[in-house]
Amino acid sequence: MKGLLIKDFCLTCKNKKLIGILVFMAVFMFAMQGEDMGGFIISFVTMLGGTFVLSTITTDEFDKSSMFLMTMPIKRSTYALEKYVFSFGCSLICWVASTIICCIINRREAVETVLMAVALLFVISFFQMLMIPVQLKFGGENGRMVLMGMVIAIFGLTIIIRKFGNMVFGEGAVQLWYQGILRFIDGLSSGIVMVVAVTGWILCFILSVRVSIRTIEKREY
Amino acid sequence: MLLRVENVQKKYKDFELNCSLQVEEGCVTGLIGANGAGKSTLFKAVLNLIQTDDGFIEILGKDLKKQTISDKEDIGVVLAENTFSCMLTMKDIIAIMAAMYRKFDKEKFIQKCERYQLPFDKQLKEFSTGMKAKLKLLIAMSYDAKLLLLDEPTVGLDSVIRNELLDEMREYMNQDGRAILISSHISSDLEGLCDDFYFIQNGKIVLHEDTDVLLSDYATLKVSKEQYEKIEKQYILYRKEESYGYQLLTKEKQFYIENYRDLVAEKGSIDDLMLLLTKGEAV
Repeated sequence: MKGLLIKDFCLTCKNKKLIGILVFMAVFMFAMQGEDMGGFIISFVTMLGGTFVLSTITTDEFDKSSMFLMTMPIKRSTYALEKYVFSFGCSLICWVASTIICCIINRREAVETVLMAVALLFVISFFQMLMIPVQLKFGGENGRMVLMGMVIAIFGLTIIIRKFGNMVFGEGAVQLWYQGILRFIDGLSSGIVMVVAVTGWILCFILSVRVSIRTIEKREY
Repeated sequence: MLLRVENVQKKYKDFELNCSLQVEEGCVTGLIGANGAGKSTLFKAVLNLIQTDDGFIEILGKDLKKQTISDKEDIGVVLAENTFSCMLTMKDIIAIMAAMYRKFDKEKFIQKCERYQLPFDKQLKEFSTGMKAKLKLLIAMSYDAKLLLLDEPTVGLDSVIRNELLDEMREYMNQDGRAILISSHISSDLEGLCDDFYFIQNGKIVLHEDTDVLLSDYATLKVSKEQYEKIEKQYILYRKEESYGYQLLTKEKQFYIENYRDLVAEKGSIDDLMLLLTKGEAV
């Protein structure tokens, strides 16, 4: 895996435009409204860090270098796993850096910033678990379209549920359900919430990795 | 034996691979065939890049299905179309190779790259076709692999670079226990390198012969239609219609020279042989 990580690191370093945009946007937001936009800045920078892996998948496929990589002493499953390690690693580095800077800028609310950052990291990792298998399955460009389609479908589904629910069960019914769920979660002890969240995260991670490995193992070059 | 392929089959919509071949230790084996004959598909099957439908592949004395990571370190590969990403530089590649292969000889690799004036800081996309071909071969030879699988390593190169690469392969074969399987659709430059040849056509091996036998016993005969009617056809393998009559392929050159003195018999060249095998019809 070390060789693959070096390769992806080298490929990412060549992508100077993307890194330049990341640094520029982060500096710009910090300069404009650093104190108020802590959450947005951390999630933006962490998310972008996590998406570096997408350009490595695209590059591997663009010049068919993934075919050559498969002739090297690595397992196909290692190739898939490395994408997770690289993506989570990049996210983590970006997350640590942006959280530290946000805490320095907004020292009075440093503890709150860290707690919020942990929650954001957790949420972003779910997106990565969705993103990597989709990219591996559908490839660079198609993968982006599928991801976009999935986001649109989720939004569409939310709107349909809301409209349909309100139509059938009366105006405001769906909002009431939603508030009920939130109240239920609020009523749970933080320990239970943590256990459920961590268990859910682990299950999603296993599912995501298994789908990615299966995709790569079944692939013909 | 370093490679044994037995009745390997792979079916596509409009193409079917069905062939067997062997690569002996200490030998350079050539796989010759026109574009689309199935050379690359066979390489992909041997490298486990495609799932075969049937057959058996043994590589370095081991069933391909039981191949481990460390077994792969003994196989050097040149693929026709690709190598590392064109975004990477030689420096990147050296770092990757050092992490991938335990036996990667960094010093020797750098020396060879310097000898061939391959730039260390340029991205591969800036390399010429010849530079890329040299790099691909040097990578495959950089970690003391026992078996080299070279798919079209000389395609698109001028004769100077082709000869340089062929010399590299000869030097590689100086060490015992090694073997090369090399494919090409330009066969003439492989005559002086290969010990035996397999000819592949439409996914099937149509001829396997030692180079010495090919060059000594095979011949192409040029005959008019009248001459063709009269000659012994038992030893004619393939024929191709020409404006003057027929061009024929035989394995019994001496027989025709001795018995038909008015025939034009040309010493078998591998390119002529390939032309007759691909364009001609079996007799």
